[in-house]
Amino acid sequence: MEIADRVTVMRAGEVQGVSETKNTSITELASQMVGREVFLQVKKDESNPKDEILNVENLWVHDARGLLAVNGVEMSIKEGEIVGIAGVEGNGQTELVEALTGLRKASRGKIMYLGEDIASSTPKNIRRKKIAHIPEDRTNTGLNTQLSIWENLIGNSYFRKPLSSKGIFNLKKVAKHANKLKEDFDIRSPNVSLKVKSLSGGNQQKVVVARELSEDPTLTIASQPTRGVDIGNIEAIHEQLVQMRDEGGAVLLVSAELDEVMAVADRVGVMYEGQIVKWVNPKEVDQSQMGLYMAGVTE
Amino acid sequence: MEWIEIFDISLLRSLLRSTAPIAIVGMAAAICSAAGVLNIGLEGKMLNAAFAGVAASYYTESMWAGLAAGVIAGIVTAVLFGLLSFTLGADEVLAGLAINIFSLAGTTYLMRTLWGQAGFFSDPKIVGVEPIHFAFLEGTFLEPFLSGFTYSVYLMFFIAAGLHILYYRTRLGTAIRATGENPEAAEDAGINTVRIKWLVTVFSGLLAGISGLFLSLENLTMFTEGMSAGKGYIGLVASSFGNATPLGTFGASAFFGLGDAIGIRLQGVYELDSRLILMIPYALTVVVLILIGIRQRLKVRPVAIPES
Amino acid sequence: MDKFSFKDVLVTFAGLFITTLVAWVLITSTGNNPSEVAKYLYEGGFKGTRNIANSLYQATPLILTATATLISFRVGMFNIGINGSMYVGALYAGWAGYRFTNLGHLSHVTLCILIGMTVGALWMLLPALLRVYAGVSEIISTIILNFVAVLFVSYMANGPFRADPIAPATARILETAELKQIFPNSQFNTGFFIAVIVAILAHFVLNKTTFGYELRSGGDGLVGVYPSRFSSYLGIPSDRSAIIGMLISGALGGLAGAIEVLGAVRYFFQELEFNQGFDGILIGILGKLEPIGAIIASLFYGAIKNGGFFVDYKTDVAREIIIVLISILIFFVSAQKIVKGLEKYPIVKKLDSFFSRKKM
Repeated sequence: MEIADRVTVMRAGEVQGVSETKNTSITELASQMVGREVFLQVKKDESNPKDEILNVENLWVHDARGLLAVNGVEMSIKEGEIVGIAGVEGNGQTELVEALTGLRKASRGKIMYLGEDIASSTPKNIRRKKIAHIPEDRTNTGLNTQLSIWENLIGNSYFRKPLSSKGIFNLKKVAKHANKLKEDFDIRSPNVSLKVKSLSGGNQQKVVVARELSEDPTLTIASQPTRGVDIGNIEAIHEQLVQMRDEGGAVLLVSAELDEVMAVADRVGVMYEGQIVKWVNPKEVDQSQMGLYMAGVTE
Repeated sequence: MEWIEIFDISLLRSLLRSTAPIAIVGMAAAICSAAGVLNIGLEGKMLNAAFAGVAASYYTESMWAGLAAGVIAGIVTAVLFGLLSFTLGADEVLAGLAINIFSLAGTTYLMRTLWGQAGFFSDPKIVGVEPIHFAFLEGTFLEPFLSGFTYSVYLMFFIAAGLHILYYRTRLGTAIRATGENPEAAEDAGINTVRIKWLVTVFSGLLAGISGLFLSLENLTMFTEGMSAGKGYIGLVASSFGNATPLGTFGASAFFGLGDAIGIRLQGVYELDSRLILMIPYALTVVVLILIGIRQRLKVRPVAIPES
Repeated sequence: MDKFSFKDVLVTFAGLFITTLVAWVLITSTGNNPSEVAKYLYEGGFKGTRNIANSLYQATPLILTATATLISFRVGMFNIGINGSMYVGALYAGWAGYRFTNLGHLSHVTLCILIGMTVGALWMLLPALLRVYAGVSEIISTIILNFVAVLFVSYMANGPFRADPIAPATARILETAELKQIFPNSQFNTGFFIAVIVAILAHFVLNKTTFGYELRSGGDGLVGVYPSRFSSYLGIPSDRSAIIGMLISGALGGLAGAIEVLGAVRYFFQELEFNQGFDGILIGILGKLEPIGAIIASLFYGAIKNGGFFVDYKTDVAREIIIVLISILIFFVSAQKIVKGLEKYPIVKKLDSFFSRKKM
């Protein structure tokens, strides 16, 4: 919109329309891209936060090179709200999420979840506590692209009945479950036996989301959940996150996409150089203000 | 005989001879690693070169033909590797492995089918490489240190020095290292990474060829099945230990050579079973691998959290 | 699974075609007659009870080493050392064969096999630990250990385990330790059935159990991708999976060696040479890393190998030509761009999607 004079929108191989950028808007273009009305402002009701379920106390985390990535973060998340973390990538968000999800040990501090300190828990324990994690690296962490779609979908449920019993899979029930998830989350693929690496980025992400959200998590930690995903699917994923919140769960949304965080989250913390430097109400701040906060200018 | 007495001139000479094949193929591995090419197929190149050298020398009764054939064989095998990996998209490790298996079977097949011999092939018609005796050193103090080795022993020093200069003082060297460290950035800077990879591959074929020829025309004058006996892999480990630098690789290779040489001498002193002695280079390799792993671990040391 | 897609089959056949051409060149250039070679190759592999039995006998260790290698690959470890496991497994199974007297047939055979498998598994322990805890490339460590295995085993047959003052060999195993040979003039033995059962078991465990799922979650590609973070992210200890996978592989390699000694050779001697470990790698790849595929490919390869022996006996062409040809086939099959290039032809695309329609 800033540079071009004229925009041509194509969808499914056909031209949908040609417009002068000065005569059109993002909303109009987006709806041409998807084929239906797209709300860039995510449709959601007021949040109704209840009890606190997560409390991060003075968290310090080292990164892979031994430098401090998280420098004393404090944060509280309640049931029924979406907390967003905004910020330019590389300010510790990755390590923060890794510490919360058991992929990296916290070096100091506490992560109190429902009264228990999970700062040194394993991913297995964290999942047992019904914490879901949509990781920022979907091809290496969130999925094993060499495995099939169904094998990726059952990653958090394969050990339970009815999918398996006494260690042996009931492949019929697995197929049924996988196909249901495929339907519910609109994963586009001829069948669930194909390797995940044959899917588009958006569809791959839908596999991750389907798996993580389908087991009724109490807390969902979503890191860059719509990166590399096309507009129609971005909308769907945002809707699912809001739905989690409305059903009483809690969501932590970490994203480098400012639009996303501001539209989806109920309150947003800005992360800069390993600390949360400002908490804002997204309805009361504008983009340029946020830009300043993200650059570390807090006053 | 006291064990310390084995450290003498004879050991030094033995050390240089043991180091040569490993150092030369090690530097082949190093230059490939520096460019980001994982060249597992060095064994195959050495074997093919060793065989080609013996075959050519046998049929033409000329040492030079043997040397040329060996070098060509090494390069041709390298080209095959390049074709498979770069042009046809095969996985580098798989291609290298397949080439090694292919070369082992192929050279054995040719030896058995062409000459009807199994195990090894030796014939007076094969002309090997003679050691070089420097006339001007005769009778001097330096003679036992510098004279009387085959050409590869001298060559390895020049290769190490030459590669060192190439790496750090030339644009080509920088281009190679850039390709290895960050291919995308290298491409952006205008370096043709594919051409660099081809270049190092072919050159490594040349070096591996020289190393293989050492085994069959210098050290001994015969071809034995599976002659390279893992030296291609040991060269890779030497390169890894030396961080893919020419001097580091050379040093690591000397370490392996030393182990080899000491082992041979110890055999005379203590009457150990020859097989245990032969195990020494491999055991050393495993030790070095462990050291490399430990070194990797020690690199990361976390910074202290400030007390506030 | 889209593993046996039509494209792959097409590439394999194209590869076979190219390999045959190369074979023709290799044979004629050394002054031999290709059609003669082909005739003996076929006869040696498939004609007559004795040849068929021998082909199956050749296939026996291959089934196991191929399955062993593919298990490693599928947990993400590029294990090239199964040959070593086979050597040590054979040595110690042979040792157990004569060392323990006063045992019934079933118990003695079982004991020997278990010892062989344990030793084979332990041989893989060091490379596994090195990779998991020190990041040491398992490719190199397993290859190096192959060389060590050959030397070690040779040393033992010559020294501590030596039974015969004249020949460097161990004592012959007791009759109670033998795997029976069924046919009078063939080395085919009951070990074949053990191998097939083990492979089928491996197929079941890998593909149909949660244990197999956990093992594979860290890898499952052709190229060892350990550690894939997917495994740890799910809460599956990928370190443990990798080590267990390697141990199981080693055990199967040791089993292959044990069966060779118990069923065919009956004692261990210095010149005993095993190459089935390396063949197993090629077969595992050809069989697309599936045990059932490994069985089929092993049967085929066993026949070709036996045919090769016959060719070697009847002509001047050495039997190694078989390995040469198979490795050329591997070159072809591994060249991904050829597989991708075939997609350019619309008929290939149509047949491909026809064969991969709804499976689940």
